[in-house]
Amino acid sequence: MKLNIQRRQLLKTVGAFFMAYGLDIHAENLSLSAPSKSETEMLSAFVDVLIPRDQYTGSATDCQVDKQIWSLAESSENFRRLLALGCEGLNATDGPSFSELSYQQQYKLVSWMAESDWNHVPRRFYEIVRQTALSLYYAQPETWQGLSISVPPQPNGYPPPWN
Amino acid sequence: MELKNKPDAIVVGAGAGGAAVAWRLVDQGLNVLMLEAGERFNPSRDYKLHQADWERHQFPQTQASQGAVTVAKLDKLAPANHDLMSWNKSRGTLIKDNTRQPAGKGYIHVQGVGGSTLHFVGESHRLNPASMKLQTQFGVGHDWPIDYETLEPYYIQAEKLIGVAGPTEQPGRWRSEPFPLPPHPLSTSAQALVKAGSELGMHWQENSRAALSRPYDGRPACNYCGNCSRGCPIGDKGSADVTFVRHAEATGRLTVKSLCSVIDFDVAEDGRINSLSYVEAGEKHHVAAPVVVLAAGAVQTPRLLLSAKSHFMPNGLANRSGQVGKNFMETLFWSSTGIISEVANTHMGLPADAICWDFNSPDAINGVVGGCRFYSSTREMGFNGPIAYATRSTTGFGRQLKAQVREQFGRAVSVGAIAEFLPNPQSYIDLDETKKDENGIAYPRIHSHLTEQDITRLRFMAEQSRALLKQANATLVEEYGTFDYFATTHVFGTCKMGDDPSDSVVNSECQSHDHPNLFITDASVFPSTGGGEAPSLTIQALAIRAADFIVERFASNS
Repeated sequence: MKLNIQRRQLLKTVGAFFMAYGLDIHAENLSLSAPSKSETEMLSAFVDVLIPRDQYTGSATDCQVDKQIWSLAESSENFRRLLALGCEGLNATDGPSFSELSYQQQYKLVSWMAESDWNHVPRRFYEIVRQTALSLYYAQPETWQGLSISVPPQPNGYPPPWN
Repeated sequence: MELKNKPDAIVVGAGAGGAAVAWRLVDQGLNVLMLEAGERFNPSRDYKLHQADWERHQFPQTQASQGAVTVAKLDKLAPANHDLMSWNKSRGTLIKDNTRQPAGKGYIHVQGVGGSTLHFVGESHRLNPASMKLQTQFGVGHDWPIDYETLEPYYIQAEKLIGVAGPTEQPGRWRSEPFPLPPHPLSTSAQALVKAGSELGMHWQENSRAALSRPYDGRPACNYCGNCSRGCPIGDKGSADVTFVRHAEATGRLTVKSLCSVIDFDVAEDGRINSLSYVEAGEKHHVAAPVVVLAAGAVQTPRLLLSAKSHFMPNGLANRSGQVGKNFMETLFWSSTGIISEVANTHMGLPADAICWDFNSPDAINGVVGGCRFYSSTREMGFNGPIAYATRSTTGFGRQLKAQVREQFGRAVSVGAIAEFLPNPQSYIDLDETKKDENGIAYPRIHSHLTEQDITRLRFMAEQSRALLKQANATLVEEYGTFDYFATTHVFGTCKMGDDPSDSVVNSECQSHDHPNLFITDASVFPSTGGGEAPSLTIQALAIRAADFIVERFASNS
């Protein structure tokens, strides 16, 4: 099977995290189960904070990035568990869930995650989901609006001049 | 696939050296069987540059395209050298602890018909003649038993077959004929480096490239998509499959069998190789020929030799000297990348299109023996599409992240550098008996160690790269090097060439000192690496020369 190299890197990074964090990656509750409604709402809201809609291009969920992330998680228990832990963390307060917060509140929470300890779940969840979401998002030509690229490099290439 | 004719020679490995020796042998009338452990890629099917999600795909990796390998525990990273740590703007320091780590498998290569030329960017370099006499002239490393003059006619032949495009002259390397094709136009990123370099007194010029600047030999000219490393789908890049193998197969005298792993050798009492065994689709086969050529690279070739232990050869095949696996030399690499707001479209053009040879001679860097070269590396470093920018050169998230991608895209400029690597006792290949492949053959294990001299070269490359980008008014966004990552694309030295059978594995004709009909034509025979030159052209020149020797000595007997 040909495995996308970025997916290999993703899986390796997630695996290293669980090893470093001392989490049991073979625990019984580790399953490749479909995400719950709460989890899908949480991740969709999270990736739209990472990649919101603007005047040029759509948001992460506009481009189905959230669905593609869940699809990736179908074949990786580690990644699936990271998503579960991350979504659980986003929903850990007594108040409204992350997806019910205002955009400003969500932004503030994600900003905190981006600055938190590298070896703890919030930061690792932020980093890995950010990396994955951006890779999936910018793999779609409709997100290239405003860039000096509009089609894949082949078959036309980029004949000179380039200035 | 059945053999059409009884082979006169068996070549193991279809990369740069295997393809070149096979071409030359069949060109002179011999029948050759080529056994390749990897598969045969179909560029139009397997390479993804025409797909919308092209940037998520590197060169295709399959189980057979990667040789088995392990990496022994690597060096601790001294805090005094943390200025050489890899980092980028998005993720900060990439290695979070204090131990050097392999990047992926550490040995970055391709098994397949074409070998690592399938994913190389295609620099086509001749060695600096001074780098071939390091022991005599500088008292370090090892001398080559041949000199540049001996190799020059074979360089010419390889360049013609490939269709190398290059400038009229290159410092330090005389030529008896011009390059077959004119040089490629310089990309905007290369132009920025040329300008900044000239302001600093550096001399940059067009690089010599195994990519066609004009249609040549039935292949089209490059269309400058900038993604040679992901596999060239149009065939202008001079990888071994579309050059040497294509021409060799056209003679009807080359049989290529892919997905065939060699596992053993039968050796006669007089030292000759009688036959070898290989596994294809789970079945073991034996095949014999008057000549056997190994060209599996400087990691897998010593693995094959060390694995072939017997009562009569306790150290393995071709290893009476004990030098098989020793003298492992790797790629000493640095790259700095910056954003220059005044340039645009740096994702367009040929990778590695400009080069600076100023520091290539062994005595060019103060305080250390062994030189280096600098080159334009924007597209080799992968700043080819928006994913690279979004995940490496931007910070944060949200709308400001998207704005950063739009501001930066097409404005990354990278300078890369590769240096001489001298052999040291702690860098070698042995067998990892704890890990065996499906055929029961132990994995090769790479031991890598950087000496203080290597660190000195790395620091010189880093400081010069930073100075160059500063002069170009760039804002640094990423640096990557082999101080903290073991990431070797070029591997050398593990079956060293020499005149003394007690201190080398093959002679100057690439012939085993121990087995007269066994030859090795990959970079494992290199006594030294050169000052950062890409090795494929030298491998091919050596292989063509070895083929001529084989024809002269063996074909007449058979």
